[in-house]
Amino acid sequence: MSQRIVIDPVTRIEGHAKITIHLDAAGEVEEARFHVTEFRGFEKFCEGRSFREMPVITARICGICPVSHLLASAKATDALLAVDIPDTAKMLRQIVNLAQLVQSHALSFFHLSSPDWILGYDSDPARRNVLGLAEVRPELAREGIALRKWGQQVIETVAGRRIHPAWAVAGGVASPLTEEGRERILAGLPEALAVARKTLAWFARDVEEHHEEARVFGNFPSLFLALVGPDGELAHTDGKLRFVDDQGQIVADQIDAKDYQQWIGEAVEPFSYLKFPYYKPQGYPHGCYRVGPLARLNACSRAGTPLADEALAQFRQLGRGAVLASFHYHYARLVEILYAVERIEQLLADPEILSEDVCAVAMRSRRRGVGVSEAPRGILFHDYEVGSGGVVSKVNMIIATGQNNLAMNRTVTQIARHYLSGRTITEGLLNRVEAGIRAYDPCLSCSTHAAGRMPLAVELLGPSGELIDAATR
Amino acid sequence: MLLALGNTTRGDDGVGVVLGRALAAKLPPGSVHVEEAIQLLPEHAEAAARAEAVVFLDATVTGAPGSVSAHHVHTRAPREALLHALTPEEILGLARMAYGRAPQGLLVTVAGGDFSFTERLSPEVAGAVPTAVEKALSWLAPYLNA
Repeated sequence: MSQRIVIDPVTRIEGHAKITIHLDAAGEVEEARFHVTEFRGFEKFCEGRSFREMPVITARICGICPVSHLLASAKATDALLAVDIPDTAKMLRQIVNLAQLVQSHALSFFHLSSPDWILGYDSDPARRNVLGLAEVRPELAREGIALRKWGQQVIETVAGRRIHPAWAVAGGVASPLTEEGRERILAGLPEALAVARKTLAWFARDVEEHHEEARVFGNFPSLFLALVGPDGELAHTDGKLRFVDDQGQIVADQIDAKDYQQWIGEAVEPFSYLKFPYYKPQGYPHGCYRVGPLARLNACSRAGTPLADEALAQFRQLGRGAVLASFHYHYARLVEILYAVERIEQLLADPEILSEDVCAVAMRSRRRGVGVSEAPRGILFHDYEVGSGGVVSKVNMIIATGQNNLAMNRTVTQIARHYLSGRTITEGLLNRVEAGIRAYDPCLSCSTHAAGRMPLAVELLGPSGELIDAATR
Repeated sequence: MLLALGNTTRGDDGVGVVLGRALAAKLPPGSVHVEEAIQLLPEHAEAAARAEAVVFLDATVTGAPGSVSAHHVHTRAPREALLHALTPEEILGLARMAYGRAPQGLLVTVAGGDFSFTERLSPEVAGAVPTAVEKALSWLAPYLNA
């Protein structure tokens, strides 16, 4: 007879979820499930809209990463127009995407996750948050705020507003960057770079202190998927798909986004609104792959900026082949912040960055368009089919958090097997299950596309599904 | 500083933003820093810490539609299940802990009745805007005259 533990709701993530832990007749953890219990249905209600409206509609999927949806959607509409957008528009889109990565990673690292390490997993949960962090390490709270603020200022300067900018459009972007805007961004860049370097140096130095979490929080072989440039360098906005295996060996490379369905399947499970994408050649559920900062650092051949290349070399010493521990998503975020700040500076130095040639004008010439971009949490696909008059007839979106769904379930199972003792949900188990999920920085608003938000809930269930214990926070 | 909160595409939820604009129009140019936001985030604490006083303007689901409420905001211990969005009390608490000072705070709310997908306020809520603005102005007067 199996038993079940439920953690419901999960805190300090964006969205609504609960966790159930199933025990077998011997009382051992059989499996754990990460349930996403809300539904929004963007894919359905976008049908019937003009394809030109899609960037501004789909940006509303999320208030945390609207830029990612805006860019993936704009790229899908570029594909419908069959245009190669102006180089300046490509660079401006890259800057905005990287700025969003900075602000999103800063929120995840400094304000949502670092309280676990600074205050301790077993510290009072009422204090284990950004306010508790500010009490004991005010400089860390301030530096996180400074990075977020700079990232948001970059987005506002380039795209006109911080949240839900309607700036990326079919064929390019709606407005060029001004000289004043470039100077404003550059003025804040040295502080952002200093914070990125300082924080990375601290975390890299102390990473060994987290060896227990690295061993237990999602440490397993899997594939990794990310965009890479033509030479294998990091690519967050343009680029082609690359899969690598747990040894870091390239499994598939330079795949055009429009061909993603040859490589990625989408399974569903009755216990969650979150889809379960998988690597098609290995089938479901064996084709588990991870996306996001860890996957990007595992997949790329190099970062492409001087300091980030040095940091990447040090990061890779954490693994033989690929770095497998999902705990190291946190470390990977810091490497990416450093890369993003450096890369934004490079792009702003390009002589064409202030060009006013930022949008191609064209009529729709294809019936299907696929756009892809790297959101902070991982690769994001928007796939549109349109009928006569440019009316959208079918939409498929594969969101980063969904692609980490199989890995999150395995992570929760691994943590439960290690920390569950007996038939009671202890505070220690609750804290670590939460932290294991939080390493992925899941955005459930995006991935279900869920409304509302929820705290953590865990249930422990027996072999027949009977409730043994429950804990909520 | 005015922190005008709300989603202007969700009917009465946008009243905080409407209040922020109406209030700013009645204040001497340059005397206030106005921020419009859908929700309160950690970075608002940095701006708040630099302000002499902060007025939080928001909609509420509590009370009869159009009823106006104003009360002082005190720094508060953090919630157990802290999510991405903070409360006015937590913003002031974070300002004090991270930046060493918390300004005086006032929260002015208007109870909403219609939070559906529209950019218009319901008649009750629109009619309450002048009252809410007057309450905020009255509280701000000592700071403006200082």
